[in-house]
Amino acid sequence: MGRVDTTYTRAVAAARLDAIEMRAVNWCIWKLAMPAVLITALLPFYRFIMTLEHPFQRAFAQGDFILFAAILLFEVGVEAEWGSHQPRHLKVSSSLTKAVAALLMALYWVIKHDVIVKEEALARTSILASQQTILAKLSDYAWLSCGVGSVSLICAALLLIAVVDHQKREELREFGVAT
Amino acid sequence: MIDDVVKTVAITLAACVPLLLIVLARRTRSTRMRQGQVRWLRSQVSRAMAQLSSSSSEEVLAGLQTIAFLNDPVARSFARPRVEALTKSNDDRVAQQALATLSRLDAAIAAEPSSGVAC
Repeated sequence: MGRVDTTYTRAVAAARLDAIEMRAVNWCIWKLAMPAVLITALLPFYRFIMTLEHPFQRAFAQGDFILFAAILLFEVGVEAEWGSHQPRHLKVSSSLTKAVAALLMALYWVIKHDVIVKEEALARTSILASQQTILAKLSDYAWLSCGVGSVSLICAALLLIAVVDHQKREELREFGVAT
Repeated sequence: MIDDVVKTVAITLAACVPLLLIVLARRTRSTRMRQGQVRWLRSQVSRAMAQLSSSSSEEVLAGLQTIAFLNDPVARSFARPRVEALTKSNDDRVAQQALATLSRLDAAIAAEPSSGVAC
């Protein structure tokens, strides 16, 4: 290897080699997968370690997944705007993501308030039928929370992949390869 | 009524998950394919840069052709001085190819949006 290519390799490594992929992978591990796993871990923790009654409702009805989804979507919406020459579809997607995140935040307040009211009612009532009704409602909230969390996780990953894909297309275009 | 809405939305979202996962898998596959293409092109540029410094004229010719064909802006700026030196090569084929490559490099550098802007 001569002097020319060594300098080139160093320059490339410093300037561009897979920087966006590394950023995306780090983002997915520490901001997407890790918090999702930790929130999901509440269910086995409540069921098997604390052995609480109706652990599913306790773990997810309060809407922690919705809050997580809102923060995740805000974050990915901001990240997708990175770079000066983003295509129109990415700009629209990132704005839409932030708007959905704001809506989810409002939904989180409503659900949290209702769940607190229902949990208080559950603690006060001793009638089995009304306990069952309240638990069914809490279960619906828990499923909603899980559904919103899962869909948001996938949408965030899709937006992130779209950003990486755009960057790769640009690199291929720079190389003179049609995409 | 609100409870029904909550239940319906929850079921709809759950139904969307497998579909979204399929879309995610397809997008991931196509992005990985592009990533592979970029990596391969980078390796070719890196190899071409090494070939420019080779003692074999065949290797140098191959390197010059690759540099001329692949329009990489980073490689252009690093390869240009070497290509310029190769235009004075004793080997006529190398000198001619270096001239052709140099004119392509200069045309590409001139076409860059940032060219001509003082740093």
